[in-house]
Amino acid sequence: MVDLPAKIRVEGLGVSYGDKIALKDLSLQIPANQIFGIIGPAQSGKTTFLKAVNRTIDFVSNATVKGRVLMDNQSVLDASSFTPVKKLSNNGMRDLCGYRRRIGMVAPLPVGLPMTIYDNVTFAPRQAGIRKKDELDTLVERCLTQAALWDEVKDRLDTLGTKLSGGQQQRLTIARALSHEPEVLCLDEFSIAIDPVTTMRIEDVLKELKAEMTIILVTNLVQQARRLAKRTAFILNGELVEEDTTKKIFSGNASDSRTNEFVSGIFG
Amino acid sequence: MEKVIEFIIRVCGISAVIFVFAIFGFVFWEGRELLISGEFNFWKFLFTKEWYPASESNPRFGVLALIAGTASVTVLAMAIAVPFGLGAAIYISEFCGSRLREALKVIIELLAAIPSVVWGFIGLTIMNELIMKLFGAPIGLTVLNGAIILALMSVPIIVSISEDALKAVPDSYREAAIGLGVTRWQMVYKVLLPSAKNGLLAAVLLGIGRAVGETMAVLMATGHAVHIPFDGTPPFFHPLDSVRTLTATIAAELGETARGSEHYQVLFVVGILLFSITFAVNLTADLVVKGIRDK
Ligand SMILES: Nc1ncnc2c1ncn2[C@@H]1O[C@H](COP(=O)(O)OP(=O)(O)OP(=O)(O)O)[C@@H](O)[C@H]1O
Ligand SMILES: [Mg+2]
Repeated sequence: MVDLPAKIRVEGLGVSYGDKIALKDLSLQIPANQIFGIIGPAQSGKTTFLKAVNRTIDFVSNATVKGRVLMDNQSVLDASSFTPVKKLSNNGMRDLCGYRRRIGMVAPLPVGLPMTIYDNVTFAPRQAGIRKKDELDTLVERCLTQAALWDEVKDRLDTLGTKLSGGQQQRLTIARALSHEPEVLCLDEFSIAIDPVTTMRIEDVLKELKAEMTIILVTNLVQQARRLAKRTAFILNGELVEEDTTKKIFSGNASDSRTNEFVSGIFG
Repeated sequence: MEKVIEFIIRVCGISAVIFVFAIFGFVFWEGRELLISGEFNFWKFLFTKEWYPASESNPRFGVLALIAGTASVTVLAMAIAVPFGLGAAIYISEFCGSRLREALKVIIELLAAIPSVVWGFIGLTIMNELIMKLFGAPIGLTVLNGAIILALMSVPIIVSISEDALKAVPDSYREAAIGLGVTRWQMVYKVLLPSAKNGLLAAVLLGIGRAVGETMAVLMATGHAVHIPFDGTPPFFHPLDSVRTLTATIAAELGETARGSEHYQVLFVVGILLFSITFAVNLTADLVVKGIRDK
């Protein structure tokens, strides 16, 4: 069914926050070097899915997980051997941080960290041990260029990241997510707070980036998934309704009638 | 009805302002004769260390030693309380589970509720002996003793205000940092502390205000000797010396002076000095807190 080798394989993933079940028994494969779209109405568990994949779910105190997530056929999240962050040994913590560095995450609302633009982009690489100035300089230019922000900020890299406009901050978050050269880039409704022109610019960037990495695009704009994603999954109330080629999902005769209703805007 | 309530609330609000001015006015009024008489030399008052207010033949009013007493106890107290308070706040807000958090907060509030005489009593007895035993000091009522007591008294303020400041940092910052693969400690150090720095500074300043203004506990714990604990011989600062603070001096001496006497008036001038110091500290703290809101 999937021709390319799967970059990420999710097997029976379930997530609950206390008593509230946010994801139920979700299994799917995400092929490498493609944009993989995830659509679904509000509160359906899309963000939760990304948190499980990049394992920031570990830091949500009331969350419990089921199932497994594999990356390159290696288990990166396994409920049967899951250790809460608080009980993690130093080595365990280092492995977890190391794993999270393989994934870049872009949140719905732009978050310029309260430091300079330069520091925003070099924060993760520096903490990971890169200290040489010229190496960092190159990295900053590369990431900001990839995020289509370089020309606008190259003369003021030492101003605060929080002083940029919303659209610029969102591109800064993308640059930051790229700074540790992730293998997988997760975008969570990235265009929620930015204008259509900037959105289109970032979409162009994503089309280029997929040559280098796997992209998971959670989107509230179903048309955005249609434009960009090769395959798309539709999640409803924490359950995977179906996952198929984007063409099929949007063709109007997807396997599940709820999908057809959702993409044609009847609910959601 | 509404008018009446509005009126009452307004009176309450205005009365707070009136009280502050009235107190300042009163303190100033009681010391006025001395202040305006040509004899009082303000520089001599601040910068000489002879404090013999009750001498019949030659009364001298130099508060330098008292200022040094207040300053040494406060600075040492903060050197203890700030790392503990900030550390506790960081632990409570970022690292501990919700059950433990509630428990710790209750305990810290309890710490804040202990009356200051009780602290003084602890200083006078337990701490006194402990210091004599541990350091072989002839007397345990010292700068160190007072500083430890004051540190314990200001830790609750520092913790609760710092914790508020850390809580005010949006979770999106934490998530963004964690998502970048940095450890939680790196997140705290590089993202949280810089974002919360104004609130943390305000917490420290209010802790200082608390320490400078505290009377009873330091009166009992510091030995009440007019003495400057600094000199030219290493280590230059002697935490095992006894000192006396500005507040303790007023508390101990005011009851024994004749109303309107020179000694009585000079104690009010000391009060004005104290008032100015705490006012400056609190004002700075307020401005700093305001700085956070404007950002
Ligand atoms: N920390 C939490 N504690 C309790 N419940 C949570 C928590 N985080 C999310 N939830 C709940 O889990 C469900 C799924 O949330 P999630 O954020 O994954 O949905 P989403 O599809 O991303 O929604 P949206 O489109 O609004 O971003 C929701 O019902 C939400 O209220
Ligand atoms: Mg979401």
